Amino acid sequence: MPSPIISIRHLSKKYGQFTAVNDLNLDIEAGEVFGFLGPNGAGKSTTLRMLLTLIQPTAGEIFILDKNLQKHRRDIMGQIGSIIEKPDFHLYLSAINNLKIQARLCGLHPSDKELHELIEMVGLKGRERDKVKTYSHGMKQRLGLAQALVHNPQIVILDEPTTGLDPQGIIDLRVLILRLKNEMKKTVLLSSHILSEIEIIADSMTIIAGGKAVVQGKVKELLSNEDLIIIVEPENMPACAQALQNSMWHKRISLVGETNIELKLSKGEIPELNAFLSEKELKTYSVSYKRTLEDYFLKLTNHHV
Amino acid sequence: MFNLIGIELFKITTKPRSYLGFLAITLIILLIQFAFYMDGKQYLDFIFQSLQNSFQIEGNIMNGSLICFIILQMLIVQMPLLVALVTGDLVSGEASSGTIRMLLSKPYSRAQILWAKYIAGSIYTFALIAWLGLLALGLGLLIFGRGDLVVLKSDELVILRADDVLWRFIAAFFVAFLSLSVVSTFSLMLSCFTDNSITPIVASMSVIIIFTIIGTLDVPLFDMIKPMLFTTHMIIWRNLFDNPLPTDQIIKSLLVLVLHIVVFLSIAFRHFTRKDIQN
Repeated sequence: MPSPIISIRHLSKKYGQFTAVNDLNLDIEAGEVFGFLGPNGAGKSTTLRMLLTLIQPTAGEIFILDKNLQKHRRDIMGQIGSIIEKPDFHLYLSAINNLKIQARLCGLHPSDKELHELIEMVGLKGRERDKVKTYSHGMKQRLGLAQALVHNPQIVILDEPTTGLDPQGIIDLRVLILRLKNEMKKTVLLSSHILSEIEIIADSMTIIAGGKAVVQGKVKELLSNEDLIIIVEPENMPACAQALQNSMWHKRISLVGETNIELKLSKGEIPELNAFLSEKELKTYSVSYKRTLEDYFLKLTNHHV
Repeated sequence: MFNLIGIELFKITTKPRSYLGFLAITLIILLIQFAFYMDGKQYLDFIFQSLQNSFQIEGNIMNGSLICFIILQMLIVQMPLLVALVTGDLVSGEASSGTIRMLLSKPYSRAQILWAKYIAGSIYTFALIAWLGLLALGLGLLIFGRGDLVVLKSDELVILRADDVLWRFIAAFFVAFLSLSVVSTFSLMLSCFTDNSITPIVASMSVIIIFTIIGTLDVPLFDMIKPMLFTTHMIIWRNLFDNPLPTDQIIKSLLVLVLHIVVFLSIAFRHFTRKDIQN
């Protein structure tokens, strides 16, 4: 098994009596989108800042690309692109000049052609000569991504990148992140406090609460084990409600509405439910499910805060 | 390192506020030179009124050297503000705009980044002084011509021959540069401690004003601390126009200024290299 591209061991950060990050362990594999999830104040940004050497850890070690971050900072930092909290620019400069500065800070002198390709990739073609102070929030977010990519890093760290974006902006960003992973083979570490966002885009994730990792693993595995909300829309509502009340599912009913009934079940129990309804000759318009993401998230995080 | 210095200079030159200093110096000097050109003779007659009973003054007293000396005396009070306007913003400006996060997550050490900022700030300070010299002395000589420099001090009259003046001015500009370097280092140090650019600029000016007031107050209580204040030594350039030259005093002041630079820089480096970037 290949060694992880980012490995965090017993990482802690304390501010006086307050512990922002508490003995955090984390492994991120190369080429994956890794979701770093947690409520506000969970320690996500502090951890990401420690990865970028903006904050010194109180204890623990970080290994990136098989190298100790404290000992090989210079080698490693050239391989990381990032947006922390919000993309930041020299507002009095144009997008092109901002990108040039970022590239030169990594010892690179990209050609105008290369810069224009990058500008085009993030959808800012035609505005590259304008001063950044004239940009909208969405445009700044795109330029921030271009800044993070200008030196062609192996790892891209994005801290809450969808904050403040409109729905179209969120979709565009999602597409871009998937391009980074699929076409450019980048490893993306994406922090968010919105579980659905991570579920859509990430391969693996960790949930952090109170500075501690609460859960870590493949997104599909972690979420499929959890209770779903099963929505049954029967043809004969009273009969169906009565049958379910008298069945082994009665404790799992969460809502009986005018046109549908909701039950909390795991995904594996859906065939059994279908069989039960069929056996009782209860016809249905549909049996669908939705995830109880918020419940899952709150259950894990509240328990550990 | 040269790459970093180049980037810092690029940032300084693309910021509109960097040109305020040059604009202010240009306007003030042109205004003073214009005033002297139009009405200078009357002004000098008034200044030298008391001496005309004891001395016979001949030749071109209102020359480029004298105008430059007067300009230096007037402008040296404003120069620290113009310098702090840029150097006080070097770190805190990046902290307030957030670009510090991008900068510090690049493959350069924090010490290298601060050195680059300090050197770029020093080059800016030097450019400001060079512009001052070019306009005040160069343009002054062009408009008012050469001549002996008559320096009227509170207790003596110093007359320096025309061919003995130029090196003194060049040395004075270098001393002024060193003095302003203390201000630029001081504001850079303050800049490392704050996340907004106004605080270091205002704090630098406040400290200079307070120190200058302490320096001018004839109170025995302050006599002990006066030699330790950098503002006391910032006016040492005037001593370069004494005859004979008070070499010991000048060297001592230069050492005190250098010591201040070293102390301010050390504090700045110590704090900046350990600071957690949380904003």
